[in-house]
Amino acid sequence: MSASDEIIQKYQDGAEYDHGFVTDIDTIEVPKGLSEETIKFISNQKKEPKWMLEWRLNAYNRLQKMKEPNWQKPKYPKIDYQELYYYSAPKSFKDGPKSLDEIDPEIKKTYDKLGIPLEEQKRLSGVAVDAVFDSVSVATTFKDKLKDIGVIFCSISEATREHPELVKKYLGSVIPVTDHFFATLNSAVFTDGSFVYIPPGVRCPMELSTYFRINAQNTGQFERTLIIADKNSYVSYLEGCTAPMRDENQLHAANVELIALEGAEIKYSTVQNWYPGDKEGKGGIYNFVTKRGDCRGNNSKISWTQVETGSAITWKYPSCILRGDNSQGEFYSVAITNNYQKADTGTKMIHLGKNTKSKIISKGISAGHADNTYRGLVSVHPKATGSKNFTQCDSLLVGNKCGAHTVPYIENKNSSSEVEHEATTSKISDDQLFYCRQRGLNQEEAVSLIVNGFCKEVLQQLPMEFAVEAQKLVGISLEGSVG
Amino acid sequence: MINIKNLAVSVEDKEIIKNLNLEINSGEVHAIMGPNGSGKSTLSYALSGKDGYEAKGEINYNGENILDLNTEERAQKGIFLAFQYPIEIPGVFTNNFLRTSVNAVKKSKGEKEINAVEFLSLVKEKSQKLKIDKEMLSRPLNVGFSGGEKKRNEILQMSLLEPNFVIMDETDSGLDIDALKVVSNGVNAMRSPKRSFLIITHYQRLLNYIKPDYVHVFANGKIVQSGDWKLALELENDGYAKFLN
Amino acid sequence: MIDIEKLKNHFKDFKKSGLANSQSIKNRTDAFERFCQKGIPTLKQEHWKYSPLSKDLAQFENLKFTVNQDKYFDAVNYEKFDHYQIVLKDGVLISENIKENGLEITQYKKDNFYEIEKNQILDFNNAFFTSGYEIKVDKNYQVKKPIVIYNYFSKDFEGNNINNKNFIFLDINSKVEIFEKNIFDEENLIFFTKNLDIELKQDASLIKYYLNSTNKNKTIYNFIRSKLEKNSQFEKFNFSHNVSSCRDEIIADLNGEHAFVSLNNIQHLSQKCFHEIKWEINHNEENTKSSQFVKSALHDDSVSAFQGKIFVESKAQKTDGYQLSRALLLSDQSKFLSKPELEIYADDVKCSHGSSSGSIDKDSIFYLRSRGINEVDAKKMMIEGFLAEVINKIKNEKIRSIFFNKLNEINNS
Repeated sequence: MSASDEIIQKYQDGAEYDHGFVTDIDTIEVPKGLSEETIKFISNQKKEPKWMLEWRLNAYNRLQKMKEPNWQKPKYPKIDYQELYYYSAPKSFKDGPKSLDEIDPEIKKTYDKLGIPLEEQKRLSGVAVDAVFDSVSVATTFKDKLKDIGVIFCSISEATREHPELVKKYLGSVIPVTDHFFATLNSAVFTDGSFVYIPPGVRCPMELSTYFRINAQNTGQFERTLIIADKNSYVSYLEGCTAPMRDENQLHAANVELIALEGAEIKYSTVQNWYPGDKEGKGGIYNFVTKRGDCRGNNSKISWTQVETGSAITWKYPSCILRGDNSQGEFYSVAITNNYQKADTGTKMIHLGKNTKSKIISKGISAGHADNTYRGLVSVHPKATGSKNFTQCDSLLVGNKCGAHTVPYIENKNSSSEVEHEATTSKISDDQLFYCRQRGLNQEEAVSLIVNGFCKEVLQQLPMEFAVEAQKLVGISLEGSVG
Repeated sequence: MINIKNLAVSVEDKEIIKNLNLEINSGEVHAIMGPNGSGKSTLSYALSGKDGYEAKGEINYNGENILDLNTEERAQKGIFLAFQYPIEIPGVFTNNFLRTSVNAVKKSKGEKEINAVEFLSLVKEKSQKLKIDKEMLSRPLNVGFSGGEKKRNEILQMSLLEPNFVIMDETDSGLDIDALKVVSNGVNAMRSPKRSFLIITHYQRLLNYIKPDYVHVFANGKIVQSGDWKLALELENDGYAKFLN
Repeated sequence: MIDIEKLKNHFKDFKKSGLANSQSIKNRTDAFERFCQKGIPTLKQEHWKYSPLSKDLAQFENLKFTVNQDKYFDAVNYEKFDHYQIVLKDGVLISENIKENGLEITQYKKDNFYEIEKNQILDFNNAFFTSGYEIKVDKNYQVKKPIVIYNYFSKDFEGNNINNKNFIFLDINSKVEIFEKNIFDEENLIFFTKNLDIELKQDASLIKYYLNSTNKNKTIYNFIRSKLEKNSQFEKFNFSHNVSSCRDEIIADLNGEHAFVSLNNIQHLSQKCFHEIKWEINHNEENTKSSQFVKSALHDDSVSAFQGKIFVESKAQKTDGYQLSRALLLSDQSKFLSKPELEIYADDVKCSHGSSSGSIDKDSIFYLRSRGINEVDAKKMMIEGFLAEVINKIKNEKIRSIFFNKLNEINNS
């Protein structure tokens, strides 16, 4: 192993940060474009076992025969897949801003409004942080505690090396490699992500968050996450953060697979505020994510909670396959689009087992020139006796230059099931605004209060620390849209 | 405290208030009575700065012409409108709304904001006096409230915000005798030399419980007659006919 | 089996047959070309997702559009109340033209060849249509008697493909009620397409009823395009019973302020029946109102599909759009597929929709049985009450009792 390889290895495994190695990193050549060479390079960098490389190459071969989909409402300019870099070297702080005074003042204002502590602000903007040792040591103690109870929480690359039997068994079992274009692309070139395994009967004592996974700073464009909850276990996983995340990568196409065995429960919460582009809608991030949960065992439960306020285009349908009898799937979503943002999001609840239940609460808020679509599928298989679904999708429109759409597909093939769907559209009424303002609240505070009330049912589902931040984020996202 | 001079108010290019002149001193209670459609609610909206109401002239409040201020600025300076039809806002819990409003006004005055615990005991004390069940406070604002509950909620807000100038827009509509008494007691408890009231109504009944210092008859876009509380009794007997042309 | 090549030959024969007038040949040929380009509808095409006609058309060897020369129609079929009659026998208008007071009923002569993207069956209809009716009502005239349209399919019809085009025009402030019913004297395999254009001028009012009952081996495609001007109203009531394979598509363009459209459908399906309803309401002006109401009782292997779209333009403020679809799945094999869609660009609107499906409420059955009613009768009562909610919206007593009688007849069979 060459000296520079060793250094990369150390960095990736979360070893102590050493200022000295920076110059060495600069000399590595990172290949551009999509090819077998790129994939081999990635697999090599990650020190993956041979079967993993074969898995990737298999996906790459299938990709050659597939076409990018075009049925979604938000259209985007063609992406040249040969122009993208599929592997990014760890960032060097040499090129980052020297202090918070150098970052975009708009971003600094948002950080302040969200109440993000200064040290955190520095970390987010790439300013070198002295406290990095602390965060490494905090993370290490945290990991030790989990190890004691048998919980595995590490990067997916580490999992392919340390726990190959688990990865081999479950990877690609919820989202098949050839499911659709972006899933296949991800399977070929994924670079980073989380692996979680909760052993039988264990209730994970703390919320697992991507922040605690070492080196979360440089979130890859093709993340791959695999969470397995064994029998009767419980885990709550948080992803994302409220601060606007800028990234030179324009496309984020992650794959998230959740598997809940008998009696297990997985709670997956996302707060996403990727850079939405400027006021004219240029330069924002495309967030195309495939998220799927398999309630494999009887009496299992998977719930998705998401607050999507960023990205130029959000295109995702976190779904649940309700395979086990009595299993439950839940989807709570707040999707806010302002200026020129577009969202086409929703969920699929597939009822296969008996007495399965699903609940969908979707709140879409559209302002400016934005477009917000809820697209969902509730499918009840002929054998899924006694199943129940309740769906509520509400849209809030601000101004008449935006659009809100609901496209729900309902397929009920079983006579003993009950499927119910309701949708309403409304606006922030002038009377409501006037009432709040007459009680002393200014326009922004009034909008924030009313919109938070509209989203209440969803925000309540978020774990505590996320919920408070999310409320602030909801208020800020609609700035400048009313009046 | 409040001096209205040559006030003219138009809504969608139609002139509703033609030339209103009225002076209310601190501690006074004035009643404005008039037939339906005379523009009484327009006056309350113009005073509180609702969008869509074009006002010309002068509304002098403690030496400042408030026509230059927007709705929340007027509220923060101590002007309170008790709505005829209080608005429902789903998902926004009453408790939360009340505290946010109280703190917004405090902040504008440079005062320290009140925390959740302190606020809870303050609200408990005030709501008990108004016979408001604390269960109502944990419901979304005005959603599913009966007419009487909505009006009592308005009076609760008034007692929490402690405004200097209170406009009551047909507060008695939809109230039965008992609710009327509770509301009136709440209002009377707030009468003070530093506080003025403008009560807008077209029934005399409320004025039996909240005795005004002055009564004005409002018709055809202006005040056509002023007098003391006896004028209200006259109107009760004779109606508004002689003021309409 | 029918395929594009066979259809190309059929079209050649059709052009030579003289069934189409020479002026329309160019338009028909353009339409047929569009049809060929889009192909026979399949599952993969979103517009035909729930009712790909490929399976239905596979039953046909060839298309035969012979015209029945016999104009006999048994008077016993006529409704008992006083009405104007329009009789189409095997697709041909055989009744006399009517011109009295402010009402005119004639053969179809409008020749409307518009295209709708993704709708190739409309193109098929444009290419092959032969006959139909036209109803015109004059300004300010309120037609006193209802018009009854009889679609009669006789035993001796040798063809298997009928394509009609119809037109209804209501001038300013006019009013008419129309009741349409299908009468089948046979169980032959027939592919039937019908395109109706409706134009309602300011203040006009049209109420249309359609009774489509027991059609074995029929594949029916109905397409209605309606344009409503200021203050006009269009109400439709459909009763679909045991339609073997039917698709009813309606587009309503609300082009004037205060226009109102109300679409209502009762479905009672058994065996392997399939019925799709596809409605699209476009709110293009302020203060327009729409209501969509569907109730379905599905037995055996029947399938019901409902696609209802409410579209609101950005200037169509104060729109009031309402949609409700409810289905009772009465057997383990029946299916309900629904896609209630909202596409909204204006913010001051009131739009809501609801869709639910399930079995008959067990508590209600228990309550009826505790009052001495047996289970079978109790279920029948529940189904009748369920569907009656739609029938009760009909204001015309005669038509309402026709619909109720039909429901009774079905329930007691």
